[in-house]
Amino acid sequence: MEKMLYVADESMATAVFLALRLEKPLLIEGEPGCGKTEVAKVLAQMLKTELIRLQCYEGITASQALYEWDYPRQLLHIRLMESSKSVDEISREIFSDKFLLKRPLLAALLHQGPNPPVLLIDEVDRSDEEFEGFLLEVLAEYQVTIPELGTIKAEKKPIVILTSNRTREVGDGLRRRCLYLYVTYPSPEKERRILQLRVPDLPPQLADEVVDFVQRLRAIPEISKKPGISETVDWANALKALNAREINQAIINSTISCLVKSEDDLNILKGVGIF
Amino acid sequence: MILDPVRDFVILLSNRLRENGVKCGVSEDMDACMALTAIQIRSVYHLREVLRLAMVKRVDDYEVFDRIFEELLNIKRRSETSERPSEYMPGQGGGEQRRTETGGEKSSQTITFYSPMEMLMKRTLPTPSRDSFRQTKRVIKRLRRRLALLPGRRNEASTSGLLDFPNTVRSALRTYGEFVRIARMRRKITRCRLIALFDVSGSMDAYTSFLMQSMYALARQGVALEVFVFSTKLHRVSDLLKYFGPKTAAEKISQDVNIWGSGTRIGSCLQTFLKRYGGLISKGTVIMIVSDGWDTGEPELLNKAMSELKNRSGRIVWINPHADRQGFKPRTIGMETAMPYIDLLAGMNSLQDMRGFRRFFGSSLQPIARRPVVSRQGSPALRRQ
Repeated sequence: MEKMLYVADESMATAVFLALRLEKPLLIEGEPGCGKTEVAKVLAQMLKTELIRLQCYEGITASQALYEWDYPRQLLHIRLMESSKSVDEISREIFSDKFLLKRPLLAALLHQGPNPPVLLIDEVDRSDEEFEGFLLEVLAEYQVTIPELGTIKAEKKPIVILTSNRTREVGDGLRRRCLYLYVTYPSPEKERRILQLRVPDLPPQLADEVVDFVQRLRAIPEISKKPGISETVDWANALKALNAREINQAIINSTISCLVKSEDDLNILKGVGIF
Repeated sequence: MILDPVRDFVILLSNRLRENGVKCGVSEDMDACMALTAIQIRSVYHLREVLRLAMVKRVDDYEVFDRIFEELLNIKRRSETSERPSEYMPGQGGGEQRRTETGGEKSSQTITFYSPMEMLMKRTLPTPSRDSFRQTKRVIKRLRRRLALLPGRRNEASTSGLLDFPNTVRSALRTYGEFVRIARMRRKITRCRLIALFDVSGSMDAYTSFLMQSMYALARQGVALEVFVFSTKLHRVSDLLKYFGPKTAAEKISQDVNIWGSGTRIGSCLQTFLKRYGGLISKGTVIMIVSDGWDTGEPELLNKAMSELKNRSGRIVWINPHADRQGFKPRTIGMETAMPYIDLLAGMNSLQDMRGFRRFFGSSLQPIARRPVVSRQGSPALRRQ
């Protein structure tokens, strides 16, 4: 995986391997910015297949995730064919593949290609419980039913990765169908390795300082939004862009916005004397 | 094929997990066995990783799993070194568990079993009764409807939004099949995410049965609901209420939650809530606080917590048991501080039965409009200084 600029520890590698072997969805929970979404992206690159992404949000419905008929085009088509064709022909025509808008889930099931696609269902905790219930069928059977066309079953089971930020507890039903992995902030060694891969031009000594500083930030219990790995990488990039040699107060003052993203946290840092 | 001892170990492990309240069923066992055949195990550490991946489905259970795994491993090692069967061999009776503190240390001499329950100050709580439970449940169903902020599954006519196909076609009939008017629809606002925080401090003692009643009814509403209790500390009780019957739930809570009847620190409890469970709050969330507002903490803390809560949630409802009385004025320091941020202040009667509810909230099913402006000046109590 490291070729794709992703540092996976043993538990992550095991989880992905088992998800592939057992053909089960993998549910990854953890702090924001710890590389949950990245896993799916890297996996798709590694397997040389397509990544199909379904971003969940509050109020997402089945039609937005699965399929929709293209009503305006159907209406137009009916008008055009009205005089020339019979009712049967028209109905057969308008409920065909041509007018089916494939949303991510259906696209993943219908995917044509040598390798099964990677389906990323991102931030599943943001969707409603009803939607979660709907996902159960898709994830367990890898099939959906469209009344006009019949049941569609996936030829190759897509590799499903679900992520959750724990804004709400994901239901037990969904958990039961998945393998489960919790990711947290990396150890200093791992973070150093990530920086080496992601920001290769960064001088190693500066990288050490960066990791050290970020780890110290995370250790402050009062901070509400702790910086994740993506923040560390952002910061390292910023330091590189500024041609910084070392981390001093001036540099921290001008670039702290990469790491700390709320005013309250900034005030806390001021109180502790870091910033 | 999987080796028998390995399979036995998996089964033993899942049994112990179940005993300790981790939801681990047969399908998890099967997964674990399949995982073990699919992968080459290199070390004990690796074995634990694989089993955990397949058998444990929430991060809160990781700790329990690690302990139990360690225990079983110890037993296995012992029984391998000494020929006689271990007296603690599980399966011969889980009754030989030895209780230890949750964070207790493990001695190498005795094998100790982990128990998730922490025995503390015990207090018997009333069991919610069936009749009034039904009443309260109806009330809360209505309440959620009235406080709704989120779109539900049904649609209503609207000028913008998705195309309403059936209605468009129906109205086209009027114009001899010519599509003149395009009907549109949007989702009707019928739901909310409700988070209830119950004050269980000493000053609320008189209302304990009401609290238990509504807590239970709330948690039993099922989806999108969280229940917390607080006095000097904050406790999440949703799971206890959701998975057990009324009697067991009351017992479990009186066992596990040892904060009943102590002092109140609303401010710091709300802060904890924001920090630890902040992810639960969104603009579609309704926060319901049940408290009389007697606060021994600092009002500044409460002020800060309330303003953050107000900014992040959809609306805040405060249920004060004293608010039923004629001529009630929010005079307690907690109430005064919180008042500017509260969207709705109701008494207890409005939640006890349908009659009280109707008197306060009306019989409409329409959601109450959101209060537009929030006073930024803070509470009068703080302004005076």
